[in-house]
Amino acid sequence: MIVDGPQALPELVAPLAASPDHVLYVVASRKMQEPLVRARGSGVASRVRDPERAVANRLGRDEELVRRLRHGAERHGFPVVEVQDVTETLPAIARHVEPLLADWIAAPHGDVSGRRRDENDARIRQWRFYMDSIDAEPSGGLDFACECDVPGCGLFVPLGLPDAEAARICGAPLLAH
Amino acid sequence: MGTRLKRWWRYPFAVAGPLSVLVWTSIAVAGIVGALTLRRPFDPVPALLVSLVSSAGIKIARKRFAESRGITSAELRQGLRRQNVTGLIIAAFALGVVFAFDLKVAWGLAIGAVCFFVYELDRRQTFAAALGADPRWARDWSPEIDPAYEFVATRHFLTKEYDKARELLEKGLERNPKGFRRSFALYNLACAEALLDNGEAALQHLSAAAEEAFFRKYAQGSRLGVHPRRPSLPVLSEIFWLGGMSGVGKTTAARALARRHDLRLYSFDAHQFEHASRLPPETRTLDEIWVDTTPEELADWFEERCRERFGRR
Repeated sequence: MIVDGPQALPELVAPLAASPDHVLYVVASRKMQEPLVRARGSGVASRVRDPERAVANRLGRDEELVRRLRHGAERHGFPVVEVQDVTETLPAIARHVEPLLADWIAAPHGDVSGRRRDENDARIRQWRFYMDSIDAEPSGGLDFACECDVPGCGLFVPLGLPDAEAARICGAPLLAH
Repeated sequence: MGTRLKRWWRYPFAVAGPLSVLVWTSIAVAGIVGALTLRRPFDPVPALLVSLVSSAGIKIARKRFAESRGITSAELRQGLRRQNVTGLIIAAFALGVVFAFDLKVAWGLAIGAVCFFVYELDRRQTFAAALGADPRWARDWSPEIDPAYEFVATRHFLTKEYDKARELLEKGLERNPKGFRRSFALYNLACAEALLDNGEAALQHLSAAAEEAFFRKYAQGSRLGVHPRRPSLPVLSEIFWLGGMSGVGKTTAARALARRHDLRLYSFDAHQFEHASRLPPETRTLDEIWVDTTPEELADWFEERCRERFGRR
């Protein structure tokens, strides 16, 4: 299981992690992160008095968090990897995680469909909560994981929120093939 | 399967409880005698009625087992439902044999009673073995012999008296139960401790429960009568923590990796609103949070929320 998020601060993970190898922090320079954060946007920018100041504060916050993160990771002996480009993120994580997975990779993978379904469920719920919180109609789509029972299936199911919810109501799995 | 056969080999005539023995053997004997002596096809109807009344008697005995210990949980209902389903399957099987071999209906009664007796015997042995008792002397209807604390505890979950539930579950575990009863006790103890804000102990017992064969089998995708939609419990050594800066493609990478190796993925960002609903509400406006502030204050606030989401406040 992978637990992912900037919320996994070193001080919070330390009592739970099985070993320092079970933890990895990915950071980047502001130069690389800024365009990505600006491109991604957030629901906040359109609802504040001074969007530019809000984004600057947010980027400043992230720089400050990275400073604290490096300090915390060092104290607990957790590895930190700095990427120069977003294409480096996956290889960097894979290099670190895959050696831990040797036994898992060799074993049968069980209910793969259920795992992808749980992941999709969380995203559907989150999307619905968000839409309700800003009182807007959902638009656009997300790439959901294919819920087939084929191990290693990496296909995506691009769906809008109403379609995904409709599929859930009638209990149909989201399938890409 | 191996241990089950071994147990049967060791205790081939283990008592299934006097009531069950009496009820099922008498139905079987009635069936055999009926098949040999009765002539018309509907003659066995009275015997059928007797068997229905008897099986109702067994159900009442089970209920008394639960009531004498104050067990009134959903688990009990689930167990009874499973027995009803087994009963129906056995009845269908017995009828099938009657029709397939063109036997008298009374034979169906005898076949059904024998099948149910064997099933009952097996359930009793499993139940007794879970407490490490000698199945020959397993008389589980006496609260003195088997107080079944771990089942009694579920009552306190319903009334939200988690400290009482914890006490009973600890008492239950002191009796060193095995098999599903041990997994059940450990898992519920972890729940009670988590609800009592003792996260450390809860994690310890949850990990211990996840190590039990009952949950391990289930985690590999076997259903074993457990609700298949409940996610499996990963042990801590199976969790990989991926943190760091937001906006560097972490989640996208984690998703790709989860797909490549069929891993479970838990993204904090996908649970943001779900967590927020359990945290103290934010009273400041968006301007106050994001504009009239400094990066340091924002970082403090972010870390504060993280601690809350991890239950560290």
